[in-house]
Amino acid sequence: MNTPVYLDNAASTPVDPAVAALMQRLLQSPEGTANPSAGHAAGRAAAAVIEQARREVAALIHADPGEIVFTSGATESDNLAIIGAARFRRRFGRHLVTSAIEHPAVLESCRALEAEGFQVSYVAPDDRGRVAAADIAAALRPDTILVSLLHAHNEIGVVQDIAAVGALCRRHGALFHVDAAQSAGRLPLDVRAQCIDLLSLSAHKLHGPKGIGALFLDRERCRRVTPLLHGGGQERGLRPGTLPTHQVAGMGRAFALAAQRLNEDPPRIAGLRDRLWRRLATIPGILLNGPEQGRVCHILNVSIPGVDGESLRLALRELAVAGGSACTAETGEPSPVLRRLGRSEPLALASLRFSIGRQNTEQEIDFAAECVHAAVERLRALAPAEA
Amino acid sequence: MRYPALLLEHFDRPRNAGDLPPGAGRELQGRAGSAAGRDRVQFSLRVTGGRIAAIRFRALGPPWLIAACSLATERLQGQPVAALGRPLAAELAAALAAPPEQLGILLRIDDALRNCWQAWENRSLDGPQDRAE
Repeated sequence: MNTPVYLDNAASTPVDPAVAALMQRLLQSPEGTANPSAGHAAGRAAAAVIEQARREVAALIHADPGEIVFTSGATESDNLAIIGAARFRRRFGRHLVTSAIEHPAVLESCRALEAEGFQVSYVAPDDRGRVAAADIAAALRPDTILVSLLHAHNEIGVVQDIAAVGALCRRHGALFHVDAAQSAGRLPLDVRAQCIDLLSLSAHKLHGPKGIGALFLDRERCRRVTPLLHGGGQERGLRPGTLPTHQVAGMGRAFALAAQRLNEDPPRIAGLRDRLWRRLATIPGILLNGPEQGRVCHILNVSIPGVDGESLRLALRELAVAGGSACTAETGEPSPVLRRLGRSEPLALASLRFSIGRQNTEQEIDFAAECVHAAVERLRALAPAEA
Repeated sequence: MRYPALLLEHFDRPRNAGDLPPGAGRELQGRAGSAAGRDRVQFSLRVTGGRIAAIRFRALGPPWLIAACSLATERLQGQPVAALGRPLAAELAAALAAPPEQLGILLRIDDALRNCWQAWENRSLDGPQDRAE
């Protein structure tokens, strides 16, 4: 077993060897060299590679390939979906609905729109992170043009009932955007059945390369959004710029592999997650962040009282785990999501997010649990009694 | 964050952690901590012959605090008891190359040691251990 044991797969996953092999071959081939927009043979070959990847990405979410636009990642997809759709539809209304615990890519996009005069309602979750469809319904207004919701939460793993929210958006006439960066390949996604109009995807959360993502746009309900970038006419003019053939192909292969393994990987990973929780649950006072049921298979988030978060993470140098969210780790501030769920500042700071990938083993999970037990016991033994 | 080697050494193998072993001499204890209880420090020490004969610490807080407490006990061991009244936090921060924002937490060490010093200054000189000093 190699250390540190990598248990931060919600932040990024290792690239699957088959994906890496394909990308490496393309980087040294004529179709990998050529611009996919070029009219010569190598360019047409590159375009064929792109279209194959488009089909593979579309297949995982039951969309048509023509509804997929490649971007630089889920953050850009969220920006394009929310800002692009709002600007394009501003004549129909200037109100959006989202939840208070969304990914920063969604929250900051909403704040950018607020600066342009849009209004945003931030629906509060319950103390386990669940956002009730009824609360979304209550926030809808006649001028609501878009609702945006994370499918599986990147910090606590809670899975929202997107089908219910999609159905009520459809009845109301608002567009429905879903960030599926954590759920794609781990939960069933069907954009038609779940009434999703826009859906953000990331490759590197699913054993693909970094720097590439995609946005699904329903061709009937959301054919156009206002592009954020200006340039050539690539990606139907919605996302100009030369497509990186090797990265697009890598995303396609990663999504095809995920589709093949959809009945195999998520249950096995959920088993590892539950194994880890059973072993950690014997730590006195440990708290599960998020619901007992209704969590995505790969994320386990806990808070441990009686220890300092930074010391805990330093004592766990044999593990690659996140404290709260990797997206906010640099600030040293407690996770706003955990604070929203009612955790105190010390408990939010003393949180660990374990996220499991298809490469992890039972031996690694048991080792991780032993490391956490040892670190907590050592740090608690050092602490003075409370006054 | 990349931590300095000296911090890792004292964090992984803290010196003089825990409680005082049994022994002769006057025992002093000083504590300090944040109001919210996020970080706490406790020093226990024994004075014999006007010197710090034994010192132990306990700490709850970031690695900088734990390592600085460990380093402080090394520096104070065997020193005249008056050393407890001398500010030490800035010196410890420099030794550990602590980032400036950690200095506030390290000041808990000065607070706790000052409480030890005050306990020494306020001691009653009627016990057998005091007559021995």
